[in-house]
Amino acid sequence: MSPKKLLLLAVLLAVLAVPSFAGVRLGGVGIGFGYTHFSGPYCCYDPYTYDVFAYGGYYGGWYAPWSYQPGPNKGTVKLKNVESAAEIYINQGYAGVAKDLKNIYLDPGAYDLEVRSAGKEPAQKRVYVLSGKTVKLEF
Amino acid sequence: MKRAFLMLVLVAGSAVAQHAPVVKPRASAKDYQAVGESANATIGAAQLSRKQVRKTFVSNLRKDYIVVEIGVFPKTTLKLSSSDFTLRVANSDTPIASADPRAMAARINEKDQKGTDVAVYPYETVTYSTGGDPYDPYYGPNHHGVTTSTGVNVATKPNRRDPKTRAGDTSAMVAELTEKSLPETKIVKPVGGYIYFSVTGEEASSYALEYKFQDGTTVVLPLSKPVE
Repeated sequence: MSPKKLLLLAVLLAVLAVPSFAGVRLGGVGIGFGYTHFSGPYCCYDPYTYDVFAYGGYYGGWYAPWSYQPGPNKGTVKLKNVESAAEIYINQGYAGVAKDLKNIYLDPGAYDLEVRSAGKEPAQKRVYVLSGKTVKLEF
Repeated sequence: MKRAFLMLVLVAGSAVAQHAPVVKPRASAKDYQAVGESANATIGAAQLSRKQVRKTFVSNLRKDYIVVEIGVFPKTTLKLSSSDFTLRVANSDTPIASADPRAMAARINEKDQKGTDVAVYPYETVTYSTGGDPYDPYYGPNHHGVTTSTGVNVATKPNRRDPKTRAGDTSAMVAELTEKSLPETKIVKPVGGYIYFSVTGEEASSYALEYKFQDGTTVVLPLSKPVE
């Protein structure tokens, strides 16, 4: 197989592996400038606040198959009896550790949730999420 | 190349689609409320109470459906179909056919989005401030104290969701009701699942579940009213 076809196949597999609800941001470079004007009394003027400023730099990419933000179109999954250090997987994709995922906000749908704790067998549950509803999952 | 790629996609697809059965059969048919036996299989059935229905399903079945948990323990290969199960009001000849999860999801979703959602949020804020503004004509430069404010926010919004969310809710409900229902397939091992029956008006005091085997024999399982 030619390298071009291999690359295309790899890209296709990567796209198929990303769940449709996943949030993905590619890394990149950002630049910009702004202007700050201070109109308060002279006593409170901060000499380190420049009138004109510019910024620039690299920002990293991220991949999240869940959302930190609730929304009217999302449902909530609350995990109960899960060790704070346990790893959470949603539809076989790593979502994070339990202490950061007390509430998981998901689009309506059916999901496979897996909890992996050290020294324990992984526990799986099927969860059905409806907009505006909260599901409590006990492991 | 094309064949290999198709195989890869099929294998990957089936790996994603398969998962363990959502509802497992109980240890034996005797663990259910009612038991019926024939030459082909032993069947156990239990009617869920309203409270159990609310705890078991995310979809809001309301009082529109009777849910029966069924365990089938085959003695030979058996082909299961939910249409072979019928519910009857005890001592009545009127049959109630099992409900289709897709039709149920559409009906439930339609009902879910009627009316208006009213939310009431109480709030209380306590702020401590110290120091002052030398130019403030009211409080002067030396002002400090505690400010409290309390109240109630009332928010109303229609329950109607946007089309994409509505479609998502419907597909989630179809998935839940289908995956939790008794599998419609050939079985050789015990299987478990729910069957749904649509009811209108007041719930009857007791029902009987009827299962018709493919050889024509029928088993009747009397269901007693579940304790709420």
